[in-house]
Amino acid sequence: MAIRKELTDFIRALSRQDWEEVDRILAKLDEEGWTGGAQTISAAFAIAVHRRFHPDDDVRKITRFVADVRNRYEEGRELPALEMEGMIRAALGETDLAENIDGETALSTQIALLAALLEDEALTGDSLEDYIRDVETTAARFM
Amino acid sequence: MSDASLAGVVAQLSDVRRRLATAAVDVTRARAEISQADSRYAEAAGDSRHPGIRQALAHVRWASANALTIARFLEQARHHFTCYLERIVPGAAQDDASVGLPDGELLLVQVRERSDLRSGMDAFIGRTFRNIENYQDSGRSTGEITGNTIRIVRAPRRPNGGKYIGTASPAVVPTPHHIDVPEAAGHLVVLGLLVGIAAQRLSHVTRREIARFRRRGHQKRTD
Repeated sequence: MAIRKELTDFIRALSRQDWEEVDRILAKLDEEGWTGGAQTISAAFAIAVHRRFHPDDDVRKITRFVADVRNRYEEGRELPALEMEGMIRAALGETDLAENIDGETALSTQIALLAALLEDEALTGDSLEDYIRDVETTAARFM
Repeated sequence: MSDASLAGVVAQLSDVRRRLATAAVDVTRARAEISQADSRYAEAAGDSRHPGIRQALAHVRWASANALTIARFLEQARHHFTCYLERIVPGAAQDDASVGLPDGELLLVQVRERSDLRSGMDAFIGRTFRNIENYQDSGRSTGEITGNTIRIVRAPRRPNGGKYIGTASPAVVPTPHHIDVPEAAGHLVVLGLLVGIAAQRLSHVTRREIARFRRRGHQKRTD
């Protein structure tokens, strides 16, 4: 099953930090349903994590990144540090760490971390489209 | 910068790239040798409780486990040198075909590593998206959770502690970095040489440990 365009447009808008577009897409998804949303966001998050980190990286690199993300936003302290670290490490291979993170926290930490990872990468043009294609292909395997 | 000094920097960078490619392949070959023969070394060591033997066996296995990472770092370093060279003299890296890897070994290692990473990523996605879907059936909607998180990440902390006001921010436009060619190239050359030396040393130590185990195995069989 193909990934809906609204979902990949959401990732594009998040990458560009185009918040008006993000609002517009969220309203549309709320109206039409989020089918495939969990798969797309999880795939976008996992791929972005692998672009930034490697399973052999020192865990302190992840801790520093999470601390930076929580400091980056006015209300960043609302984001749970341990779960954010766990989610990154789970994406890098320690999948058991995701087991104890409930669905709501999993979704919100993935979106927050994804926003920060994409902000840092500042993908544009072909690089952004290559990333989106990778997300589509990966998410489609779970539909 | 004069043409002569620029040519010197290009030559240095090309040399470092060549050394990194060679070191990466050496490490990859050493790892392949260790992996194929690991069980033989364990057999040669037998049930020896000699601390030196146990430690040597642990060292060989550590070297095997880490050689892939070292080969990857060497290849990444070579890639960065190539990008840098291309920024200084566009086309210089493509013209220098001799810097290419001598054979497909490293490529095979990379393919295998990517495949391992991909299966790990799939396992994560499979597990986490079901957690999210199960939650959607009983808790707040995806839209609510997503909207609440977006509210946080769209409001960056202001340097003066003031609160961010507004809903839209312009797209990030990366600014080009100024490159101080001689200084940066100097740092890169030193870094490349250090990495190359470390990799060659790993390869050397690994081969020495392998030779020791072979000798031990031979002695044990002839005793």
